[in-house]
Amino acid sequence: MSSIIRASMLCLMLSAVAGTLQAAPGGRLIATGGAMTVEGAAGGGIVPWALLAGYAEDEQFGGSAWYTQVQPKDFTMQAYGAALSLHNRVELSIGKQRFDIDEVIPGEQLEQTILGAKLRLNGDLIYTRLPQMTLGLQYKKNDTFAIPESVGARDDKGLDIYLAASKLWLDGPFHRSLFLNATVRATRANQGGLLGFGGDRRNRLSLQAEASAGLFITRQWVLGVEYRQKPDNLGFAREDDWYDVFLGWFPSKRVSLVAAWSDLGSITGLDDQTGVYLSLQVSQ
Amino acid sequence: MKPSYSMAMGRLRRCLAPTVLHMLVAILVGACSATSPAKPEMTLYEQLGGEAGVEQLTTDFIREIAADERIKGRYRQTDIGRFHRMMTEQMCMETGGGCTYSGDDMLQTHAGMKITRVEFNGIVEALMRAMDRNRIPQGVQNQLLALYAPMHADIVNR
Repeated sequence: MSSIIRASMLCLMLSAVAGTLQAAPGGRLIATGGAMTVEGAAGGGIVPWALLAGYAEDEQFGGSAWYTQVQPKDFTMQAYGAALSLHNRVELSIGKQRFDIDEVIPGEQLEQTILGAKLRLNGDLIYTRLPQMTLGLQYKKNDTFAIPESVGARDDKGLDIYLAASKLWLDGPFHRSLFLNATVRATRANQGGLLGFGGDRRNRLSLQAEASAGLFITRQWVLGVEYRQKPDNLGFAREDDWYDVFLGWFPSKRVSLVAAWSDLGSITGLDDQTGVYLSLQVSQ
Repeated sequence: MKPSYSMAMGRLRRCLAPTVLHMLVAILVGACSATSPAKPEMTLYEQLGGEAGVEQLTTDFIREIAADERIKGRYRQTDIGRFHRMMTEQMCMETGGGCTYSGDDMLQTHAGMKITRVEFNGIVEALMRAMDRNRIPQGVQNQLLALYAPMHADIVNR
C-alpha cells in the first residue's frame, strides 16, 4: 500500500513539475489558488479552503507542488506534496508529513500520508455573490502507528470530511481585497492524524470549525490569520486548537511563499508549541 | 535557560491566541463598516485622474488587450477608435465622471460571442497591467475592479 502511495505521489509530483515547465499558468487571477495546507489541500497553512490548487479555469488543468516546514518549540515538522486540479472543479492531492518527536522519545518521528479530494460544488470566489463552496475528503494513513497506539489511539487511518466556503471582496476594508473562509470538518484525527484516529476519551467523529481571514495589501502580498478547532480524543495528553498569523507573497502565478507564526498549543504533553511556519509552492 | 524560554513562550502564546481572535474580529468589523456609506470624498473618476487619466488608462488597457495572445483574436474585426470611445465613456459613467454611455449594454455587446472564463480573466489582467503602468494606487485599482467584476455575469458564456 505505502509503495503504491509513494509511486503515485512521485508520479503526481513529476507531472506537476513537467506541467509547470511546459505552459504558462492557468487562467485564474493571481493568488486565487491560495497556498497549500500541511495536509496537501489548497488553503491557508492549516485550514483547507474552497479554492482549488493552482490556476486552472473551467477548460484547463492545474496544480501545485509544495514543501512546508514548521518549527514549534520542541518539534520539527516537514511536509510536502502535490495537487492536481481539473477544470476548476476537482482537486486531487497527496501529502506526506514527518513530525520529529525527538524531545519526547529520542530518535522517533511520527509520519502520515494524506490522500485528498475536493469537489467544487458551486460559486466563484470573486464573480458570484454567494461564496465558492467545496466539499473535501482527506484519507489519512498513519505510517508510524505503534506510538499513537501505545497512547490510546484506536485506528491508524481515518477519513476527514469537510465543507468549505470562500469569498473574496475585491474592494474590502481600506479599499483592500478581503478574503474570508469558513470550513466545517468532521474528523476523528488526533493532532491532525499524526497521533492516529479516535482515542480512549472519545472515539466518534466530531464536528470542528475552522476559519481564515486575509487582507491583500497589494495583489502580491496578503496578511491573514487562521484558526482551527481540534478534537481532544486522547487521555494521555491534552490537544489544543491551532492558530496562525501569516504573510503570503505571490510574486507571480508560478511561485508563492508563506511565512507564518503558528501556535499549535500542547503536543504530547509539551505545552506552548509556537514557532515559525515556512512554505513554498510552485503552481500551474 | 530552558524554563525562562518556555515561560516567555507561554506568555507569548497566551498573548497570541486572543490577538489572532482580535484580528479576525477587526477584519470582520472592517468588512461590515466598509459597506456603509463613507463621508463624501473624491469620485473614483477623479481618483483615476479625471478625463486625461481615464483616457490614458483606456488607451493602455486596449494596448494590453492587443498584446495578449489569449484575447487579442477577439478584437480583430473591432473598430478600435469606436471601442476606445465607448470604453472611455463607460468607464467615465461607471466611476461617477458624469458621462452618458451611448453604447450597447454588456449583455448585448457580448451576446453569441461565448466569451470564456479564461478570456474574461485575461481582460481583467490586461486592465490590471494597464492600471499598474499608470501607477494607479492599489485602493483605486480595487474600486475599479469591483465595479467591473459583476459584468462577468453579462459577458461570460453569452
